[in-house]
Order: sequence, then C-alpha cells, then structure tokens
Amino acid sequence: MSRIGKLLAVVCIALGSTVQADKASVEQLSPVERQQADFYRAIAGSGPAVAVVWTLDVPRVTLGTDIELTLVVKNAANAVELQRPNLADRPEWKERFSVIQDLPGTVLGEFRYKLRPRNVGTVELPIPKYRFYNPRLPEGRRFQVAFADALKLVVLPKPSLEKASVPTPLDAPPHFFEELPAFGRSAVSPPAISWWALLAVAGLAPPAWIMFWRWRNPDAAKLAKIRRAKSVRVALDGLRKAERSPEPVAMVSQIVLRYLWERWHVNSTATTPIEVAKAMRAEGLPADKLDEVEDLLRRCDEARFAPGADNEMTLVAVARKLVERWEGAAL
Amino acid sequence: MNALVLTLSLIVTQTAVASDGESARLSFQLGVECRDDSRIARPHFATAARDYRQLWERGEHSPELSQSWARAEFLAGNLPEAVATAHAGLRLAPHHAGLQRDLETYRDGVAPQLSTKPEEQLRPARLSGVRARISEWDLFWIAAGAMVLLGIGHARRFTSGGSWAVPVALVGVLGGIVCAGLAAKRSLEVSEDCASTLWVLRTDEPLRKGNGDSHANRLSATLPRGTELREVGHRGGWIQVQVTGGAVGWLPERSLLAIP
Repeated sequence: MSRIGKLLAVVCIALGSTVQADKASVEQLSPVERQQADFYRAIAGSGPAVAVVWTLDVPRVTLGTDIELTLVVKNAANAVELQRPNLADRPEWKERFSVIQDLPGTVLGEFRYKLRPRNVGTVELPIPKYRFYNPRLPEGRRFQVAFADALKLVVLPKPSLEKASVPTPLDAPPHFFEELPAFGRSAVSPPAISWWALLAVAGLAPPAWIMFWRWRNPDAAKLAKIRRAKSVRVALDGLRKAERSPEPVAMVSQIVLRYLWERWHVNSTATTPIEVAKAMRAEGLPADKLDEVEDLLRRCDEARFAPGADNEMTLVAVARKLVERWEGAAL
Repeated sequence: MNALVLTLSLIVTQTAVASDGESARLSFQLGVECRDDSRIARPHFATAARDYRQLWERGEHSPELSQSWARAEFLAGNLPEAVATAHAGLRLAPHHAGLQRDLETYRDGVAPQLSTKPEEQLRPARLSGVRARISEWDLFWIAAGAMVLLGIGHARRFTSGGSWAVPVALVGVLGGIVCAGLAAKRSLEVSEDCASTLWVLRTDEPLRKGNGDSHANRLSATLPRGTELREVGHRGGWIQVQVTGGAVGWLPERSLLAIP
C-alpha cells in the first residue's frame, strides 16, 4: 500500500470514530446506570444540558372536565430513545386526578397526558424529577437533574343546575311541605320534682288509706286482722262460698271441722259431734266452746237429714259468728 | 324597680320569640307555595331556617323546633346543617319518631360511598336501643302505673283482704323493677352517645392521613358533604375523626359543622 493510501485509511478511521462518538445511546450505559431512579433515558449532547418543560393547556378547569399536560424534553442527544414518565402509577397523581391517560406526542421528545381532577380547589401538580445522563462530565457526576417550574391548576365547581333557565321543583318527601309541627315549651322529660312527688304519693297514700279505712270500719279492721291467719281466712272464705253452694250445710260442717283441725289442732279423724267433743276435750279446750261446736254440728246433721230444721243460711251465719268470736277471744 | 325591668325584658323576649316563630312559619309557607321553582323557594326556606336558628339560640329548645328548622335547612339546600340540626333535636328527644325519620331522609341525600370496604362505610345505622323507643315521660308513666298497682295491692291486703291483693302488689313491684332497668339502660345509651363529639362534614373533603394538606388521602374517595363523623382527637386546626365504618383520618376544622 502506498503512503497516500495509508494516510487516507487513517483519516477515514478517525472520521468514523468521531461519528460514532456523537451518536449517543443508552446502549453505551451499563445496566446498573440505566436503572437509576427518575432516569428516562435522556442523554445530553455536545450542546446545552437537557431541559424539561411541563405545560398545561388551560390554567383553570371545571370539575368533571379534562385537561392536557405536555412534557417537552429539550437538548437530548437521543430523542428517539426517550422514555415517557408514567404518571398513572404515581400515588400523588392518582390522588389528585381520577383520569390519567397517555396521549401521543406530535414531535420527538414531547409527551402528552389527559388528566381529570378529582376535587375542587387549587391543585399543585407534583412534577416528578427528571434525571439525565451527561457523558461529558467526570465519572460519578454524570447523572444530573433537570428542574422544571411548579405548575398549579385551579379546579372550579360544576355550574349549579339552578342556573338553568327551566325552573326545577324542590326534591323532598311530600310531608316536608305539610304544615309544620307546633312547637313550644313542652318539657321533653318530666321535671325532677315529678319523680319525688311520685315516690311521696306511692309511699304515703296506701298507709293513709289503710288508717282511714280502719278508722271508718273498726269491725272490718278487726276482721282483716284475724284474716291474717291462713286457717281463719280459708274458713271465712269457705263459708262465703257455702252461701252459693247447692249443699251449704255439708260444706259448713266440713269447714268447721277443718278449722278446728288446722287452728286448734283437734284430731282430724273426729267427724261426728261426739267424736269432735271428745277430741276437743283432749286438747284442753274450754267447755263452752266444746258445747258450742257440738251444738252447731248437731244442727248441721239435723238440717241435712231432718227436714224442717234450721235454715241453711242461718247455719252459715252461726258458723261465721263462731269463727269470728273464737278468733276475737284468741287474739 | 328590678322586678319591673325583669318583667319588661321577659315580655320583650316573649314577643321576639313569638314574632320570630311567626316569621319563620310565614317564610316556610312562602317557600312551600313556590316549591315548583327551587330558585325562588330556596331563599324563603333559608330565611325560615335563619329565624328558627335565632329561636334556638334564644333557648327555645324543643324537638319540634329542631324538626322544623332541619326541614327548612334541607329545603334551602343546606344538607349538612339539616343533619346537624336533626341531631340536636335527637339529643333532646332520642325517641322522637319524626326526627328519626327525617334524619334518614337527610342521610339519603348524602352522596353514596361506592367503596365496598367495610371500614369505608359512611352511613350510620338507624338509631336503636331503649332511648330510640322510650321517652322519659314513658318511663315516668310506667313507674306511676307500677306504684299505683303496688299501692292498691298493699291497701287491699291490709284492709278488707282479698285473694288478688298480693298478686297485684307483685305486678307493681315487677313494673318498678322493669322501669328501673329501662331507665338504667337508657341512661347508659345516652351517655355512650355523648362520649365523643359528633361532627357533620360541611363540604366535600378528602380524609387525610395526617393533620395537613400535604398528607395522602386515607380513603379512595372524597368524603361527601353531610357525612357524620365522630371526633377522636384534634391538633392545630385539624380534627381526627372516625367514619362509621371505622376508618380514622384528619379533616380541617373549618370543613366541619358542630351540632348546635
């Protein structure tokens, strides 16, 4: 090969390497470098550093309508390789916008998004960091951040339906339009004095009534007193029932015998007047009481088996008087 | 002299109360007549609500007044105020069926929560328990009835006697025990209700994880106006609240409405 030929070959190799050096690509970066956070594959060229610009198509928007957000990456040497920042996966964006949708860019290095705000008010857009690679800087400082201006969006409430020209009726249950309930100073709870009054009346009224009743009915009071003994109460109630019974005389003798047994412990096997008198004597009861009971039982037998004897009602009354008199004496 | 001033002030107050009541009724009736056009009707209901509020602030506390006031607020388009006012009436008379029914209507007006998570449920359950059914007057009359039976039973037992005296007295005693039990249960329920402050959300607001706008949202959706919340704590103009489902978060105090 001639010397000229060698020279041409060296020039061609030199030019080829220069072209290769200007053609920046993420392929030149190590896999670890490519995994840097907030790095979207932007590599700075030989000119000015990479810059990013975020813009909104409108600064104010009504709730429920969409806006367009645009990101333009400038001065990147590898515009074809640039990656779109994924806003839809970022919680701070999801919190502010109900819809986050990617739109196609019109030129290389431009990324567009459709957004729909969630709430009324001023929304500050959480612009993410934009890291780029600058191969001209010394090792270890090649990743730089391109800062962008803060963006604010004003979200207005939806226009009220009331502003429509067609009158709209009020939506409420029909009874809401009926006559209102009257209100006044009616107490919602009884005053404390009511409870004390109730307790006082409940505590005093029954004793007062009992005292009054006993004062007005001294005999009845005495009767009430003797009725406290169960055997006496049973005997008196039984005699009252006997008046309405078809066999009053038989009942009278049975009631008297039961009374003697329960109250005066007279042997319960004694049923005839003689047996009863004997049993009463054995219990040590006074002779006048003994005669009285024997006489009553005899008259009962006569009334049952010998027509024309004492009236049945008379015997009931005699038996009642006997019990009352005995109880009065006993007390 | 003091008595004269007192009497005059009482007359003036009564006259003012009566005039506000009449004015509120009149505004309400005007609103009812214009109900076919909400643009015209709402201002009348708003005026009625203002008059009812003035009555309430003068000390005219009654469940019927709170019911009228809450209805006026609702018809004026002030849903959170209606909810809060209904609660004010129910604090006075938890058993008031009309107020309970109205409160459910207001709750229907609160935007529904679409979340299916139990902790994010916002609508409170219907008022239940003894306090929702039995008033203090009911308890009083039950107690009075029991006392009457007890008294009659005793009087009968110690006068003319009678087989029914003791059972009647026992029924009276039983009535008294039941009445005391109901009163204790009711008192417990009312004190549980008052244990934590109730708030009503005035505007749609996101529930935050912390007491500041910079904190993330606690729930997936914004809380709708009219939501009822229980206070857990407060710090620096922010109130920590709990929604019905159990989720706890923070809201700015300015966005909350207290029960009158």
